[in-house]
Amino acid sequence: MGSNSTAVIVVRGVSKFFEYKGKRLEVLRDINLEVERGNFVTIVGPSGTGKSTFLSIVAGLLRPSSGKVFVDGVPVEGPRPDRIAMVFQDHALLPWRTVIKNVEFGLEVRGVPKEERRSRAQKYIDLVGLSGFEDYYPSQISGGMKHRVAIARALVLEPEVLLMDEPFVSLDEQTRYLLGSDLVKIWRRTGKTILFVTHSIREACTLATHVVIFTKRPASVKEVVKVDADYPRDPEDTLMASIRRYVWNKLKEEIPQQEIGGGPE
Amino acid sequence: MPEGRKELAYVSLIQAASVIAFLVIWQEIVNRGIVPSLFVASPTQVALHFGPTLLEPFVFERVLYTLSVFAAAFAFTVFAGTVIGLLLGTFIYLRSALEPYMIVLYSIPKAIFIPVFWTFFGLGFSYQFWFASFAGVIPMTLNVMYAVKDVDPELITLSRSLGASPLQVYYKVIIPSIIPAMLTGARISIRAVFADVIAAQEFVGTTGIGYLAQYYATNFEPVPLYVVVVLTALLGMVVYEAIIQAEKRLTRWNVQLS
Amino acid sequence: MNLKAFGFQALVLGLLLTVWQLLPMEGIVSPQILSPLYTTLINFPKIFARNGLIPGGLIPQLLTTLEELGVAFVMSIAVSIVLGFLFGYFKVLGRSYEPLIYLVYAVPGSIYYPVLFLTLGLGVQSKIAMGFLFGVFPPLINILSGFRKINGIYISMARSMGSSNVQLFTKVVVPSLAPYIMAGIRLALIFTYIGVILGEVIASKGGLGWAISIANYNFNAPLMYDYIIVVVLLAVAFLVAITAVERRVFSYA
Repeated sequence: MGSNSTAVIVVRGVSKFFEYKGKRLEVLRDINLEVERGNFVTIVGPSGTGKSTFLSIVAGLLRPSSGKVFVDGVPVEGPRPDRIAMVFQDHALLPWRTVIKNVEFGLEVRGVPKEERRSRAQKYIDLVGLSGFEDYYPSQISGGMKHRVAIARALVLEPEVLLMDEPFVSLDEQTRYLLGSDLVKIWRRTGKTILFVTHSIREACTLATHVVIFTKRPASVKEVVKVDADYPRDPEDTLMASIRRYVWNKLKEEIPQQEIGGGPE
Repeated sequence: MPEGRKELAYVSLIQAASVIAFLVIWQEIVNRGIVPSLFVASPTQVALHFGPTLLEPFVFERVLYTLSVFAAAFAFTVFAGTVIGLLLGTFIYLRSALEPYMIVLYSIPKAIFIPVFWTFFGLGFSYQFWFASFAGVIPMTLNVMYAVKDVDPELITLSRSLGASPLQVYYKVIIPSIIPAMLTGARISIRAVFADVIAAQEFVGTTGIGYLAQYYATNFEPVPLYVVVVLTALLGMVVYEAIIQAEKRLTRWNVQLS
Repeated sequence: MNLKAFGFQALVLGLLLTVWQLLPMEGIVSPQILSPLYTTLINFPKIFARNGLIPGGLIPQLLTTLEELGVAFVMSIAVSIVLGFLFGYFKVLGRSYEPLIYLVYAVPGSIYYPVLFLTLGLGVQSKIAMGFLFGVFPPLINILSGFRKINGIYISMARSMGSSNVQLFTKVVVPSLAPYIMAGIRLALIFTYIGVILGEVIASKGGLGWAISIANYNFNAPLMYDYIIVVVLLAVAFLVAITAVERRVFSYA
């Protein structure tokens, strides 16, 4: 069964369950999604819905219990970092390697020669704004900078698709905002397709071209909201605020009554 | 068979096979005379003579004696180690002054002091008791000392803000916080204390398991020697297992185990 | 704080040295038990004497101990690393042998020595074996716990980059274990030394520990304390050396 679509990412009928001590935990149920080339798609949903699991399946790190994922028409059977690169929640920088050696990691694994590795890594270190920090160790740079390194590392293999699993969750609001807007700039420069999981409705709506809302567990796609606003965006304008309110209301339907506390920020 | 059970079966198989292989190789080494029988005893010999050897008063009395010295020294170690550890942990200047010496003391071979202890105490209970306690107190103290240092300062501030007196802070916050470290320290010291009681006995004197081992070895009687060694090994395992169980039971609230 | 701490430590040292001198000098403790500091120190050159109580003096005994230590240390490291990696990589082996390792570790080491000197005699072999038995377990247990603590997220990241199993091992597992291996080397050194000296003190034909027991039997307290000082200085030298190496290797932490 091939994908008859022009979309870069095609998810058809993906379900996933885990078995634990004889009990079956159904995390994802019949997810269907298409992501067009060059879009910035964010995914929001109630806590613990398995958004990370979904991302891991798209990345080829986990196999779905049923269904299939296609990237660029090719079914996903395992990690293909030159096609789909993943940025993890806690950046996962190897502490014993310098910034530039961390960025070179994927190239090293693929056997790219030393000279080319260095120049390609340098290009992306410059792109994420870390010129001058090539020989620093992760322990010597700030949290925001570590995330930039993780992004550079993902981009250096020049994948078509960038998967990001709550990449900014450990940062303070200011850094998050700056990194978010830098990410948008990088996205518009490179034309990648981005799939971005986040807890923050504000972040999801401000960054994305499309917001995918997941249901509660077992998760499926509740709705895809198109964010028709030009970049750069002002999060405070009425359109953005109304989109956020809309998403929040949809999300509220998935959260049990007693857990509802704040608002859409 | 589900994955978990299958692995458990493999594990048990490997363990059983290893133990059996060990015993068989040991037996063969003796049977074939690879090591002359003047120097070794085989598993079958040990098994046969196990009961009879241990029932001899010569042996039996010394085993009990060793256990009593060990129990006393261990109890003292835990007590003294905790007290000193609390003192050092509480008074920062004391700790920073003594810390390097304690670390050096922990890392040097304590056997070099066996002759000193013997010269001071002469033969008998005190000599063994004090040497073993000396050796055991050091890791116990270090563990407690570091645990006191690492007590979450917020807990203390919190209790003080709720009106607790310094003594109450001690009883209700500090001491419960250091119990895991006390158990870790006890686990480390218990090996040292048991081993050092025996070591002191091996060096000089006519009492205890150490003497028995040394006596049988110098008199080329491998069978009773091996019986004593096997018995001691079993005792060591039982004692250690007991402490591990105590550690597990008493630290259930402590999610993060080192 | 550092200067203050150093000051206190020096103060304590001064106190200890004073007590060491005064206690036997004032007769509170017999000089046989605690040889006064001064007497011990001026006796120091005598330990090199070739035809005193200790045949050949300090040098042959020091060499003997170092030889035993060296061989046992290398054996401990080699075996603990090989077994550590074997049991860490092949989970089934690890799960099988780890409980057995802990059981054997629980046996009081000093009970082995009579068996060893019965079979191997009083020469260097029994001490090497003793040093090995003492030194092999701590690093092995340490490496096994290191395997447990390998951060799964690094493995996921490396896999997402398309790493093969071999690459995972060399690029993630081994560097993650480096601190544990280093700690294991330190543990092996310390515990091998403990085992070797213990054997020498209890029953031996040579070595620093043997010299201590000989001096003790012959009521030569200054000589005994001189050798005790040598053993302690050697231990301190090892600690300093190992710490320096650790610091250089782990400059990234």
